Amino acid sequence: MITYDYDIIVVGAGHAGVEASLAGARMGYQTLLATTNLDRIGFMSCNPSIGGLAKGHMVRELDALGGEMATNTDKTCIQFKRLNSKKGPAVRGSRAQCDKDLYCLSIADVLKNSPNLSILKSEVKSLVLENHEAQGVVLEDGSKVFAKKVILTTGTFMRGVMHIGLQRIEGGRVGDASTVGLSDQLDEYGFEVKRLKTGTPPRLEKDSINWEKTEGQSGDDRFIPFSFMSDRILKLPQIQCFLTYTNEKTHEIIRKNLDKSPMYTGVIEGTGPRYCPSIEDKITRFADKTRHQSFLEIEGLNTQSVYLQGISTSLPEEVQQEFLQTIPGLEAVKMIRPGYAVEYDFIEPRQIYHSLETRKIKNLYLAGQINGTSGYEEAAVQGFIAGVNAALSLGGKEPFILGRDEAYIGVLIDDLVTKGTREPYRMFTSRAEHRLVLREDNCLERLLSKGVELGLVKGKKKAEGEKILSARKELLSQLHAKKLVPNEETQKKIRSLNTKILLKPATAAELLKRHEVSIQDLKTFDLPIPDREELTEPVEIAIKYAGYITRQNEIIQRIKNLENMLIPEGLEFKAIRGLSSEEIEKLSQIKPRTVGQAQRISGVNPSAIQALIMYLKAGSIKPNRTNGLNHP
Amino acid sequence: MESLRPQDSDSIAALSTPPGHGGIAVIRISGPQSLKTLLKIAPKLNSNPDSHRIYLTKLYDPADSSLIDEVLVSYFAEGRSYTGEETCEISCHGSQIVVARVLKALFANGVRPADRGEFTYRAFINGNLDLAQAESVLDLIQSQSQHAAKLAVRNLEGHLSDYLKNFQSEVEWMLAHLEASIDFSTEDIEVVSTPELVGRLDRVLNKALELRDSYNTGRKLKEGFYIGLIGRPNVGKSSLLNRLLGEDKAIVTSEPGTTRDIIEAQMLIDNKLVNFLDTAGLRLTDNEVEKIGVERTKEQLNRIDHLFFVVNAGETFDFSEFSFDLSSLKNLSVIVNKTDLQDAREFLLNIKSELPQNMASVNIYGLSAKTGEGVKELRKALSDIMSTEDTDSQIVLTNSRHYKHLDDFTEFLVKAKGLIEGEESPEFVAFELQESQRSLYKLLGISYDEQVLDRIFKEFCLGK
Repeated sequence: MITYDYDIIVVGAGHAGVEASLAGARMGYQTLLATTNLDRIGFMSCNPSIGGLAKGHMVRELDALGGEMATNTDKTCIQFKRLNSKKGPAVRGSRAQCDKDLYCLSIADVLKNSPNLSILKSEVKSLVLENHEAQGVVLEDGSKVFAKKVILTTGTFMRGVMHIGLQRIEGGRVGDASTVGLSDQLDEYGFEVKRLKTGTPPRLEKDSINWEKTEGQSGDDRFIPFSFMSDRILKLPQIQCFLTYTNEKTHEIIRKNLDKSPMYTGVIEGTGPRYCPSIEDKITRFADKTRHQSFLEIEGLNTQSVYLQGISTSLPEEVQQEFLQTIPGLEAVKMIRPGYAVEYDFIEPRQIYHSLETRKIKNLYLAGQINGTSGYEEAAVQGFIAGVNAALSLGGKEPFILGRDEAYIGVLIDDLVTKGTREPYRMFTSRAEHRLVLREDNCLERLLSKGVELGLVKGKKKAEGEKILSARKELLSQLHAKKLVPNEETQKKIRSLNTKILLKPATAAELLKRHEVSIQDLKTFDLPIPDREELTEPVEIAIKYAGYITRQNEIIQRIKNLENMLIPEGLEFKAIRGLSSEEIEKLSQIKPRTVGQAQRISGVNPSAIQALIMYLKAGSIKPNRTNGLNHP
Repeated sequence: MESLRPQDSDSIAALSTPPGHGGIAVIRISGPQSLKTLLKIAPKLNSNPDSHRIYLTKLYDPADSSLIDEVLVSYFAEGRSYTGEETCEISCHGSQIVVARVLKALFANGVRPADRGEFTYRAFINGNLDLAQAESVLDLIQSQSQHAAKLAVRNLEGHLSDYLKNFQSEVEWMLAHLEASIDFSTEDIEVVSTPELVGRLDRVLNKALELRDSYNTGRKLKEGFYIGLIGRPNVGKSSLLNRLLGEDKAIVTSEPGTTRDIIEAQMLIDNKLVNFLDTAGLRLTDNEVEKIGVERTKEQLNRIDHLFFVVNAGETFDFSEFSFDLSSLKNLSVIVNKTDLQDAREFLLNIKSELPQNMASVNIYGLSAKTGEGVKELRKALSDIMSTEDTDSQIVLTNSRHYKHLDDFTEFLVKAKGLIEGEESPEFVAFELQESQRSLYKLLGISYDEQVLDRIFKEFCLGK
């Protein structure tokens, strides 16, 4: 009989580790967070922003469920932008540039003050495993810590190797060593361990930049906090970012030095992200482009460090220096740190369940870059789900799984578990087939009650969330109930809104459907329209886009039939005629729970799904066998 | 349908030619046990036959070693047959007794009877056919005219699928560009311009509309033309029909049509199928009109490709007898019967002036059902009417399910176009394009609407 030291151990204190340990602790379980570097808890290793398209959605979803990332982002925001603000409501995404140092300090503070949560500075060398069950971890000094659940959120640290030019340095990030033992152990346990690559641009010294040669860009005037609990007034002073471009000279230098790039000489084997190519990649693949844009983002209020967005590179330091000086504003630039590429191990994610527990080792959960994803937000939501599911399992409860029609978080995890990934997986709005109903504005409608049920949204947060929801609901029904009769007084008001007069009685909601009418305009009809946009905007969207929302919901219902068609556990896919050996292998490996999930597995063809449905339905259909002669 | 439960070891057999006496009958066996089973009743057959070769051999009933028949056996190796499985085809003598003995011996030795459409089902499951092609097999089996058969073969060869796959890749292209404009809006990348997008969309839309509208032609070629004969009871419609049919072999009589209309007779004219419809509903008393309703009349009129208004030479006629405005029809000809009577010639010459003004350009044919005079000319006229719709060069839709999904496809494209032109946000355009994509997927059978599939495969004749 083991004496457990903790209920849950979380290995790694990046964005996944932070959310995992907080969720576990807040759900009442004794949680240990082990990290090699106490100064880099919740560290933003790459770009200095949180959110963006589809990513902003996930941060808000996390907030509605009871995660921490949104609040911490709001607290440390130094520039806020809503991307695609001119486009439709489903594809608008919030992004905040944060003060990197403050972000770390602030989140570390939250962890340190969290009950049930201990933080330990130590490297985890390996897992304590017994009969395919995780029981704890082995620390660098050889001592063992026992826990009922282990969550690995090791990021790029497993067998991490950094490349600067042809120079190789062991490590997951500049200044931090890599871990070797863990992936060897998982390898031995039969996990499919693969390599990925990612890159980061050089960091520049603020005072060495000639800012006048760049184009300053400010954030939005309107701040829409990521957390519905945050103040709508920003705490920190706001800064600009600065636009500049590469040119033919830059490209010439890079082209000349491609033989010194580890990616072009075959030194790096891991696959990099196609959506975030290095500057070497960009000039090779898009050879006819004469310039590439780059934003200079200052990484905080009290730092010299400037992030050169869009120009990640792994060329040798002196080549980086040379090409940087050809870029306007960077003629005399000094590098604080050159750009570099990182290669690291990840566990092919089709080896985990939707709960993020591994299939091979019980009580072991994986979250973040170890599952092949990229991005702080992708990591954070997985950490949260892993923490929640570890806790639910400890309480003997069913795992918490979000549907693809409920949240981007559901899309992310289902994609990983079902399709796996070949490149670092980043969320896009186009990955969500039910995009029109997965909006930033309706996160509370979609997820608040789930956060409450988990026990992670409670007290003041629960009260405020529910208050917002009922206020929106009330407003929506008022707009539907308010009848506008086309009398002279009404028509006059309507004319003042620069819209066509009414030809027959209409409700306020019907009037709001018109392109040119905004919800604030309806005040003229003595409707109690609040000033708070977090109350009015979702209502306005729900009315203006009701047609699309209804159609999207109809599609969701249609698809549900396949999602509800269960595949019995232990089904022998071999026995189904018409499946290729590749399809049998994939289905047997992933073991889809439903026909809907089977259909999303890449490499499983429609005819195979048809055969599967036929097979599943065959038992319930009456025999109608002929004798071979009854020709009609 | 239980036998559709796919099992690796399962082999099936059935008679593939129509039942009854004929010169030969073909029995098809498909599945991994095909050859093994056949060898049990054809002991002299080469146990290692070449694919696509024909062997002469004798079949014996293993139960009593009695000779069944001397037959030709064709062998198709796995992966090289219609179903994709190992297949044997036995051409035996076309006697029901022989066929029954062969099948009985096969069923007793390792194969089971095939279900309706199961050979094609297996071809589909094994990826040899897509859905549009599978349906063409059905069309081919059921086609009653050369033109319909030609169309079905063309669709089976995948021409229709190729066409649709081109739509699919165009829509995918547009979606990819729209999605890029959404998800990478902050990057400095060139996304498609509105005029280019609209241009692409228009090209697909126009092609799709053309294909969709070919359905009417295709339907006529597949189901045949629908001709109505209308006139007073005593004008000799029946004898006219008999006369028309008498010169060609009538295929079927009094068979229910695809609608509630009753087909009185069918015939081939120049290899095109012509259906004569019972048009009783078009000439009604007021009471009956009320009973059946004007809608029904309209429906029937829509169904008819051409209407012959039959009058007797020398008799007056009254348009008010009909439950609709006869004179407004475009697809109308007048037939003057009993031209064998005296004064008929004069009647024919004067009839134009008797007709309402809007019928001045209508074609008038004189004939005598009694003597047969003028019948040949009428058949020629019918052939001319039908041959205005030629199909040699284009792809034509023949299937109502295809029509429905293609119609949906174009509808979503029209919506998408409207949104682009109204400068709406790209995710709504993408939504309509995704919907259009779903319609295509349904058409090609790469969505999972099992009801559609069940229905399609149920319609197949056994043995195909």
